[in-house]
Amino acid sequence: MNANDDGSTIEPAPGPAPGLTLEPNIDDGDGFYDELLKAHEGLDEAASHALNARLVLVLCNHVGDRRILREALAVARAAATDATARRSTD
Amino acid sequence: MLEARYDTTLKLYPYARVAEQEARERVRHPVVVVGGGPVGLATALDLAGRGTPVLVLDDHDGVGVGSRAICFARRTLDICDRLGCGQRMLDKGVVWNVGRVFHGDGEIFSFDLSPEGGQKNPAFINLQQPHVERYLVERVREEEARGAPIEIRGCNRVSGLEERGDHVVLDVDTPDGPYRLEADWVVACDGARSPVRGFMGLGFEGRVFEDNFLIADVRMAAPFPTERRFWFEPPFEGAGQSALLHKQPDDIWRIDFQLGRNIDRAAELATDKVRARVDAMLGEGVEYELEWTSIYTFQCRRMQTFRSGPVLFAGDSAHQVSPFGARGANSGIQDAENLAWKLDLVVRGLAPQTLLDSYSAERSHGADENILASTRATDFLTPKSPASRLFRDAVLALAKTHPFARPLINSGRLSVPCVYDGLSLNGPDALAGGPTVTRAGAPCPDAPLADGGYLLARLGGGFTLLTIDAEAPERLVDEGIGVERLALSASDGADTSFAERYLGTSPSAVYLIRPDQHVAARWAAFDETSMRRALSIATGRTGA
Repeated sequence: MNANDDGSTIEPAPGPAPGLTLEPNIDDGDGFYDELLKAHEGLDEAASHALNARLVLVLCNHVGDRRILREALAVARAAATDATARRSTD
Repeated sequence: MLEARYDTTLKLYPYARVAEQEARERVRHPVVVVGGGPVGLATALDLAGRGTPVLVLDDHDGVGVGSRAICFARRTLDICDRLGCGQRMLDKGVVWNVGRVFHGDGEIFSFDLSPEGGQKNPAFINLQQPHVERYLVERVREEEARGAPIEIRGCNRVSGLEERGDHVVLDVDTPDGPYRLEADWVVACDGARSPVRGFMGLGFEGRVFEDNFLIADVRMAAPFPTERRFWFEPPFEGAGQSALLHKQPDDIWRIDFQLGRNIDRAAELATDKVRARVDAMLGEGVEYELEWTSIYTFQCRRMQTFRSGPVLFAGDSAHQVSPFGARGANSGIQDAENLAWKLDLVVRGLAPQTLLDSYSAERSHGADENILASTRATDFLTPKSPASRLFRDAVLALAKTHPFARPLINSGRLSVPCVYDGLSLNGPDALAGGPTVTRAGAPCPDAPLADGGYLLARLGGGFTLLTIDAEAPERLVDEGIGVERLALSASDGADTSFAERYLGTSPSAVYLIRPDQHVAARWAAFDETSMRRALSIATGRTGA
């Protein structure tokens, strides 16, 4: 909530609460992608998986909102299903 | 021929021939409890205390070997206070509050159960199950001496059961041969392998887990603190994937090792092998005796319904969980207290038989909660897939430095009583500003009173109308069911916890409290019509 100059608060606009952001939201995407890969440099597959798992937990905790986390899990899961489906029809 | 299935350590109810074995006519008993373990004994004590005659049949003559259940929760102590043996358990038991979780040799997390004070009983005590059974039998003997209608028959094994409309015929084997008796109601407290469930061909649905756990109870005068210590990937040789160390009375320590799947039970139980594991854990030069060893696996499952006509199931016969969280014996004792007052009212003809369906609904709700918590703990302790293992290890790796990951560590979520939210016996929850902890369906939390006593001790065993700064009649009878008033004022609390737990922001409150100390309904002021209706709902005479 934001505070007005007189100290009163601005109520959020009525309507559904904002959900998971699926529009571009990362500043300098190429730079971020580079950092993501660099974090994995020199790691074998198992260590890379472990890093990803820790990263997921850190970010999930930052988000916190169970509804958004549930949406994110569904989006990630559906993307895997799409990819699998595409591969099998190639 | 009656063969013992296990050795007994305490002969609490040796076999004694009774006249009924020779009687030409079968004797009809109002209630027969099958099984003299903690759940059967608690059910019987509660019923007899209310004046309903009860006969307990047990296929042995006392308590089996081994400590078995060792963690007894506050709710169990509260119930046992009502049954008259809570203080004995508390005096003998080891009170503990601190739990520490280690990963390898580093501590990653600890918890302290003591901050939530203001209650007579501690969050947990450790006490070997045989002690609990002994105290319950002592109470049975005291009740018998007082003339209460309670009887235990040892070495009386139920070998068959036949439903005959309004009653049940039981075949009973004894050292002197078989006899038959009849019961209006049977309460099957005969354990996880329940023979009664078997006779009735009833199922037991759920998950069976394959990991083996080794229990080694050792006797030693060790300087370890009275804490629950749990290790993931313990640093000591041969300890398996997890280990637990927890103190019991009489210098006995429970040690538990997770051995994994596909093990050779006999080889693992060899004394040398057990001692090698314990030596590695305790370190060089620690002297101890092995008191009891056992290997167990476990299941998380329950019967679909805990009532089948005149037969009711309670404790392990109805539901089973993993031991992580101490939800086995503790939930069984809650079954007993939920069932006893209802069965008493039904036997007296004061409530319809359908009240017993609410026993099944409420306690299967509790079992589901326990099974969920226990299954989740098990999935954390024994990851079943590479992904499950990956995230478990990630949580442990982060937890040491980052507090956010610590609540995700699950070495067993400790037993708490369930709230019967939304179930059929709840009346109006009409106390504006009332705390959620005392909403309709919740077990009453204890609170210290200014006179030095505690609230729960004042509630008694019947229906209570607790008024806080509100007027109401001292006593009220509705179709034979009495309600006694307990009149208190906010200022009767020894501190603010009484008001915080029962008033919230309301200036006054009226609670209708069930005999098992769960809240049936609550209001800001007494209204006779609404109260009578809530009582009728709470006793199954009216639908909500």
